[in-house]
Amino acid sequence: MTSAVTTATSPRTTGPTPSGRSGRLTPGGVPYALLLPAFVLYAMVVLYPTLSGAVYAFTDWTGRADGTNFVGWANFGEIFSDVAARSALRNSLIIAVSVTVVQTLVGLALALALHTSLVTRNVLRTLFFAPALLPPVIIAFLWTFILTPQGPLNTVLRGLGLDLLAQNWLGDSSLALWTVIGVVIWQSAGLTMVIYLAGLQGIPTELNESAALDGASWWQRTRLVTVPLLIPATTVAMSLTLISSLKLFDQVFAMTGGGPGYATETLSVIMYKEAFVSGRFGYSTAIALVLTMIVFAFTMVQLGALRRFDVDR
Amino acid sequence: MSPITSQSRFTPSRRALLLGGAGFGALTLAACGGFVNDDDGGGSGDESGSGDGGGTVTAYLSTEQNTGIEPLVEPFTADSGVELDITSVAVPDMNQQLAVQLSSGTAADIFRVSPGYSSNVAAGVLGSGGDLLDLSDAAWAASIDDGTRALSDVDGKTFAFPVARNSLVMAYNLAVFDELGLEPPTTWTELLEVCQALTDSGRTAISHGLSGGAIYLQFYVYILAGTLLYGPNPDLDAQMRAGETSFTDEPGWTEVFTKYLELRDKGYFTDGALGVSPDQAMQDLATGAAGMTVLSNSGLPALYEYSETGAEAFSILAMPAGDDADATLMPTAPDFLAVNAAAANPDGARALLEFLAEPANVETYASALAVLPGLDVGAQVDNPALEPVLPLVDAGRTVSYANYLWPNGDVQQTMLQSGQQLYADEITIADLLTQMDAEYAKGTP
Amino acid sequence: MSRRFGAARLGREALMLLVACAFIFPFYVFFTVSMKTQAEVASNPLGLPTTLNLDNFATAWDRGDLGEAYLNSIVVVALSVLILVGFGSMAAYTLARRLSRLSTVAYLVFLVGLMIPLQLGMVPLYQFMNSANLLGTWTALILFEAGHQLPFTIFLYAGFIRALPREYEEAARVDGAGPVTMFRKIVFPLLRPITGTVVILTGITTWNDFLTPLLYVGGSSQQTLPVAIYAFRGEFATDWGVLFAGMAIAIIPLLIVYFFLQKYFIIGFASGIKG
Repeated sequence: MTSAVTTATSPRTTGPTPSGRSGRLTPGGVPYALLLPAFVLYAMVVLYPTLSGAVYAFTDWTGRADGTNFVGWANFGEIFSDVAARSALRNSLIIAVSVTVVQTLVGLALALALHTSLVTRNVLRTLFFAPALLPPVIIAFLWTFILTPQGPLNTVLRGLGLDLLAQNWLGDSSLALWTVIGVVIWQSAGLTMVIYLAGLQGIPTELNESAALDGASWWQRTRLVTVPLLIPATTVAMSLTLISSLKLFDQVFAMTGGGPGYATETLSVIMYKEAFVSGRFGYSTAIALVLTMIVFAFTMVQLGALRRFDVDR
Repeated sequence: MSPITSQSRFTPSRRALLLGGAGFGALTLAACGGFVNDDDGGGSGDESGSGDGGGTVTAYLSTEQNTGIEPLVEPFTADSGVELDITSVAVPDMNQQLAVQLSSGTAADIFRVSPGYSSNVAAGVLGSGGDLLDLSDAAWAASIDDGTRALSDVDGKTFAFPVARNSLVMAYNLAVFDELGLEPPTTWTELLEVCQALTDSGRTAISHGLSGGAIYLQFYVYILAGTLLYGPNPDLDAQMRAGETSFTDEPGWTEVFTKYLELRDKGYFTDGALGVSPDQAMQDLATGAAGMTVLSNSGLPALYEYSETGAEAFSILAMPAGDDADATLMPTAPDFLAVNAAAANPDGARALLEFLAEPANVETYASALAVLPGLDVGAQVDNPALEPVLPLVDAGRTVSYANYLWPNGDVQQTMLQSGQQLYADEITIADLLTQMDAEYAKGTP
Repeated sequence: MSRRFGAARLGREALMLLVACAFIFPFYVFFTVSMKTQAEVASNPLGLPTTLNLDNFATAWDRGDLGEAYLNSIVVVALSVLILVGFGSMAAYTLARRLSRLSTVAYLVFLVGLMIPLQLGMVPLYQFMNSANLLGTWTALILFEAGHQLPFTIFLYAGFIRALPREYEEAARVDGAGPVTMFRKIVFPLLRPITGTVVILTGITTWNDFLTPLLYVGGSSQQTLPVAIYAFRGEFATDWGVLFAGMAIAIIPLLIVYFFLQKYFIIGFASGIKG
């Protein structure tokens, strides 16, 4: 499993790296000393606080000094009986899968479109990436405004005679989760696009040209030549998207607060509420640990799968 | 396409890098004070001087409290020799910050707490946990009215100082009422009639926005419960605490939610309220698309901003819940400050509260925010906006927000979240009350 | 052939324009609201502002003391990014070039940092900063931002370095260069494209970060732009015009920088992803 991680990110494509895998530096070639500054900083502000914070998962800590007791695995047991937590777990998984899949496809489509000689491509590249520059709270407010029942989106839809499509986007509990997912994709598709644009730059144009000479259509060339060569870019894009969507907090918290009801509750949102609304830091920490393990497992599976895909090709 | 060839085409100009580096270096030198913690740096409580004369009092306030206290800062320092170091934060972020600060011993000398047991950092929760200084012996403690005292005291000890009181009011659009010839309703039946008239005119009767956490749902519950439940039975909280009754067993609670849903069922609330933001609801009232809305009076200034004519465009009333106009009570809530039990400068903090308790200063604070005075010290507040409801305040016809004496913040949280499901008809009133009872039974953390 | 190409291309341009609308519209709302009074937001939510009104910008600038906040943000972002580039590239170089078990484990340990929810270590780290007497300083923020974005930085750098041919290093070693000299003189310059990517992405994250800066420097004179701007929010109502004006002041430089750096930025990803 560990080797999957380390090599999945390394491009195993056709690139001419003659000494890439064979050339082994003599022992001590790259001293571990170069690793030291990063490791010290990382240990100080991430590892140590995380490990000492993780201990609270086994306590009933309320965030104040007095009367903290060890409660064993009780907090973890509660997660699976807690209605809000179960709903959050389900939603987080739905968000992660759908955001990762759709955002990758949208980002790829935008990149393919902008990799051509469109006159507007420089402006569009900036425009599509621009939402990623804005803080999520601002994004959330903008979309709350646009999606309000009598708001701009529904007005446009009704104007086009599409009354049936005009919905209570954030207020309908069967729709709200999908609306949130849409907004998240809107905000981060540009990031995926940029990663794919980068990948596209590395594909030799001769490959596509010779395929075109052989009579392959645009779609065939894209599917059989371009997309397979984008596997490394896909790995980077999908890993980052998967991790951030599993941890999704800001957009949900600012747009729906987890509602209507519990329809858009995510693990990060209930983690926050348990700690800072209910004062149950211990339970909140247990949720955080479970979330970490879920993210870890999903990332490993994904990296492994993409790697196999890459090798099989 | 090796990286070598691609990067060499786009090597950034070395000059640009150098320029950037130089500019940055200059900047760093110019402002190197920010890297280390000198005494006028951060807002943590353990570094302020104390003892010798005045020193500094660190204060951690809500944005609103900061506005109210602003005109009093200089007079206080002139009067006492104590400097004030104020940090102000929006309420949504406060509870998190304060919780972390209290757990780490970095909380300010004086900070905002929620009333009763309504959050993790409420007066009752922190007071019983030993985090707050006992202020019972302060002179102003005698001027706290009984309703407020229930929220500031634990076991006969006063832990919080009411800087002001807010109330839940119904604001209405004067132009719309004039146009339709409507009078402010004083009973539930009149309210329904006014709503019907507004609806018939093609408007939303009561603009209602529940998206983003449904904080406005609770206001209707507190208004209806105040008049229908706590008016006839002031001992309800004690009875619920003692387990003699509950949300489910007390028929008044069912009546409260039934009446709330009646407004929805008759089409008086904004269409699709669950997807409407509170801001949108206020704007609808300002533009006349809606006739009325319920809000805290601390939200009135924001409402006025939405209208070209400002405060002139609106008036307020106490929302009726029953058919005896004289039985209508208006929910009011104290806005509290409390002193850290581990304050670096407890004497300075006490001095600040004594200063804020002086009638003239109570008046200044309340006028700056257009709110009700927190202490009963005979302060005359000139506040035309609140005039329509002042008779109720003077007659003592006020009641606490119902949630303040619920034993933990989760009862309210459940009401807000499951309440959205109730609004969407996904659960019944009985379901909701059962859930609230379950959270209630968990007691104070 | 050329006619068909023309039509197809026209269609594609039109389609992209349509997609662009979905991206432009929220920004249109953003910038128009920032120029409207609250009353105008209510009465004319979608239209253009009736006058070119920059009052909100002035109010935000003065009330939020955004000049000072700008300085703070620039210092924190510049130093965090500097540390990330320096520490991150060195670490990634080691991790990518050493093929031992230890190096694999170390890489994994860093990678896990991408997955850990921030809240897990929030209180202990805050207490650590407090005991080091760093609350209310840039130092606390810089340590936090740099430390927390190291995993992401190393993830990007390591992928890039693995794709980098070793001939240059081997040639340099034959010439007798030590590892540190080699990294500084040979490897790091080769990393420039991915460094551009790291600078932009970690820069944006740091520039926009809110919760932790609020905790560490909220209310002090070291507070960053988001902390200063979000203070405009109230409990029940927010003056969105002023808040958006403040936010516009904060992000316009980012937009401009991105527009001019984008080519460089995309190349950075390209070289990192393709061998």
